[in-house]
Amino acid sequence: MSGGIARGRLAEERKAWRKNHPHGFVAKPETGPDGAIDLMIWQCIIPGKSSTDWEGGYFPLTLHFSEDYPSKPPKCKFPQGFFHPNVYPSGTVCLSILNEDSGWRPAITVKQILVGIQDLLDQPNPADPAQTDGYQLFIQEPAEYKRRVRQQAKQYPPVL
Amino acid sequence: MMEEFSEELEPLFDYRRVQPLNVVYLDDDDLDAPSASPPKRRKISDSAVEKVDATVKAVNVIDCGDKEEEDWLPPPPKVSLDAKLRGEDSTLRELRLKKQELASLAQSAENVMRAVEESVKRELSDSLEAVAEKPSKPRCERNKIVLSIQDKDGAKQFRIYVDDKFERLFKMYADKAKLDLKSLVFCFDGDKIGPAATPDALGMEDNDIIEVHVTSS
Amino acid sequence: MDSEDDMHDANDVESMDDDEGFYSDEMGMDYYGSDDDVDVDFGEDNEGIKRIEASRAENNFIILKESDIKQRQEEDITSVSTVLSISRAASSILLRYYNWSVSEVHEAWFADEDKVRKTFGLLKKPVIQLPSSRELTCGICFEAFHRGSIRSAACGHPFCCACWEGYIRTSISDGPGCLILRCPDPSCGAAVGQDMITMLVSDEDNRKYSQYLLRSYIEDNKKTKWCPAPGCEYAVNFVGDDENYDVSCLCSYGFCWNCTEEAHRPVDCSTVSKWIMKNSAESENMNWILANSKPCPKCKRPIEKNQGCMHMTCTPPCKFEFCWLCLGAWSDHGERTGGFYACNRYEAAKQEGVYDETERRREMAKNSLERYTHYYERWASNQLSRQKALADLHQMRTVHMEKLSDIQREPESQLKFITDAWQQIVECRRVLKWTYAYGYYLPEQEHAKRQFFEYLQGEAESGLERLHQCAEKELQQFLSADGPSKEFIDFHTKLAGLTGVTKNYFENLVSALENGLSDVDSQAACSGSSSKNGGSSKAKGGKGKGRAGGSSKNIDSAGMWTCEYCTYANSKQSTTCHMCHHQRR
Repeated sequence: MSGGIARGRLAEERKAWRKNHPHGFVAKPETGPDGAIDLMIWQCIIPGKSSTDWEGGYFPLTLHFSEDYPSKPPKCKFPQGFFHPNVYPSGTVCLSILNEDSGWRPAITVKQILVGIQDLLDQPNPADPAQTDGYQLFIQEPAEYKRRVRQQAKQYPPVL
Repeated sequence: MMEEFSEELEPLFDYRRVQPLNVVYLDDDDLDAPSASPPKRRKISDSAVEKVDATVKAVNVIDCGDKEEEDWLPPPPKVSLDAKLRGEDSTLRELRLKKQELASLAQSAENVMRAVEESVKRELSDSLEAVAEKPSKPRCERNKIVLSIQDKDGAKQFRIYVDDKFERLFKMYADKAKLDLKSLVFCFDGDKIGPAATPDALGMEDNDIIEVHVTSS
Repeated sequence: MDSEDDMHDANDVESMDDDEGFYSDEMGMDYYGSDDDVDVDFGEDNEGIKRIEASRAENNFIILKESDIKQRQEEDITSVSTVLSISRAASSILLRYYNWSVSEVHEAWFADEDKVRKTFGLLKKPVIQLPSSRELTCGICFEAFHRGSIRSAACGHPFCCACWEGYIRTSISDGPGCLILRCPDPSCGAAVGQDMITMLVSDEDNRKYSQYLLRSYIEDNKKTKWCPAPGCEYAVNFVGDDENYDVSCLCSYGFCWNCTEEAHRPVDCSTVSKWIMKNSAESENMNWILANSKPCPKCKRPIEKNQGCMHMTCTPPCKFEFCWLCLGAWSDHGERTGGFYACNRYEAAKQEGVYDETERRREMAKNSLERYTHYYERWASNQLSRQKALADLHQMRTVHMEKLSDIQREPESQLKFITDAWQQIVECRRVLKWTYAYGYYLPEQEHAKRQFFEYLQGEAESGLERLHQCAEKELQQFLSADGPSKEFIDFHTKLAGLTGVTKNYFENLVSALENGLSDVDSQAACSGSSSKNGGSSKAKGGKGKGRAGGSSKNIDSAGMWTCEYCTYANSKQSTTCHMCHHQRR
């Protein structure tokens, strides 16, 4: 019945985002080579929080919405191989609010997702590891972990 | 209809990072009117869908032109709220005077007094609404647009022509913020805005946000 | 008749053992031999047996139809709703969380109402103040709606009807997790109960929700289970003790309450599970499942691992979080267990060898394949044979009984001894089948026990063959006859007698195996063992309605009485059984 709700909601999300969003964040639907806008895929940028090791990084994140949105959460992906304990090797973010079986609620906005992921960057959840590399360094070698995070932040400079 | 609820939904997005809004009017001509903030914005603060209540700060409309930019902005724009408040104050003062007069003249005629008072109040609110409505009516052919320039600490609103080059806005912003224009980068939706671009060319809409970043170099 | 030879053999062996005949069927011999004295009325004994069965059923389990389940559920909800003065929807939510135990709900509520309300999202008043404006924005589609089109749970978060419907429908189609639905707002825990669901979704979704609620009443309740027979919609409420788990559903399927496998006396549940696992472990499929899925440690549903994370979360409503490696609760994990990719608990336990998997592999290596094959083939052939017998029983009931009744000019009620025989065959095949699993797990070194077991099993097998043969082959001539024959009366007597004897033998066999063949240990005198076995054989009756009326147990019209233990028909003057010396009851 409400088959079209995904697009309608995303149009409203986009409208609201243009008028109000946290500084440094970007979230816009993908524009195809022909100029057509695909509301179901959003290209986003999450800035690393200042005064953290993530500062200075502007991390690209893609949101893939399904027709079931907002009943089902979007899939949120960093680039493949993104270094973070809670990011799968594929780049998919493992975060409770993005889990359709537990934390997701249809009233969660794109802004809340992005801000939630920004928080996650500097506050990994050791109870829910998704990659070996990031998890083991985080647990066993905090110094090396820090170095890797800073290095990664440099790899994603502002696209200005 | 669409317009209305897009405003009502605004507070939903007023997540904790929402900054106070400051409006600067970059009008060259439209200054005769004691320009108020556009009725739309006013309505937002009125409509109380304030779900994320405490974090939403009141909309402060500050006209910087009033203070220091007069030389640059040809005619000084008037402060909408201040003007309104001033108007309100004087009207109220008048009202009170009238009231006193009435009271002294016919102290026992309380009913009469109340009736008059109410009718005056009604007049007052009518006149205030009229003030608010005024600027929303387009007066000239060139369309104008309200844009927010947002830095880390907050946003200021500017009104410019949709076919005006950003150059001018940027310069004004830099002056106002006392920053070197060269150290500022303005972005829209993650893309840098060139000085020759115009709001129209970038497909901007009312209340879109331009982000300003200060480069460290 | 070769069957008689068998019996002579059996008799001889048992005499040699100086067994008074508890396991023996010698009484069967006499029973045959005393054909002339016994004028058993086979038609009249059913009522008494049914009554016995029924009373046993009342003691152990109650079969619930859907209407019964609904009624009980309604009553429980009403009870909670009345006592706590809360809505039926809220009562239902609480009961669901407390596994439908009315007393647990009461206890928790009166201990700390606020805590219960908070935990399960039963709010007393809204958590947000809606603006007084005429229009409200739906928190899901972000469109503006007239107040009248907006609905909220107790918390007050506004959503439009269409979004509510989508939200609830998604939840319902995701499974029984819809029974613990909360407000769509991310920060809100307000429960969404059936009252809202009824109001907001289609009849079809409402039907599904009610179905989940009904299922929950059975599945989340420790004392009820669905009958595992395919297509059967009855549930069983078990009220018995731990001694006898055999349950017989109205659909005629007999199963074990404890493990829900098919009824498997005389072997215990763990043996059955080992055996079933072993059987399927032989297939590649099983190897895959072992490698890729594990049962949820809490709810036992198989969980397939499809992501790299060792942190598993079972699907709602279970939601148990556990470690894939050691199957322990995830809450016990952390840095001190070696973090995520190396679970110390698992590594340590693996070295100690406590894990089933390694144990299983070792065991498989130890046991030669031939040995297993020997037992498996016999287990499987009895299974097949049982299925054939079930089909024959069905055929008998639906086709042959009527035909035979015509030919022999006897009312069908007088022919019941035939279906009784078939029911007994079905039951005996089942028991015999499981004796092979029993034999497989009987330790090799227990020579005396093995010997005795194999002897008993051999006897059981030949006794059953004798009965099966009689019911299958000897019946044929009467089915193809043109009219009534005098021999049919002999056939009647023989088959009924064989049924009784076999039934008795198998009951004793089950008791003996359940006692772990303790007679062998004690080398005790048989008189002692017989009373013990006699006692336990009594408990078996609840096993299956299928056997109702299987033998002539009670007093027949001629005034004979039938021994409850050995089925021997005694003259009415005697107070103890002529055969087994048990007291008349």
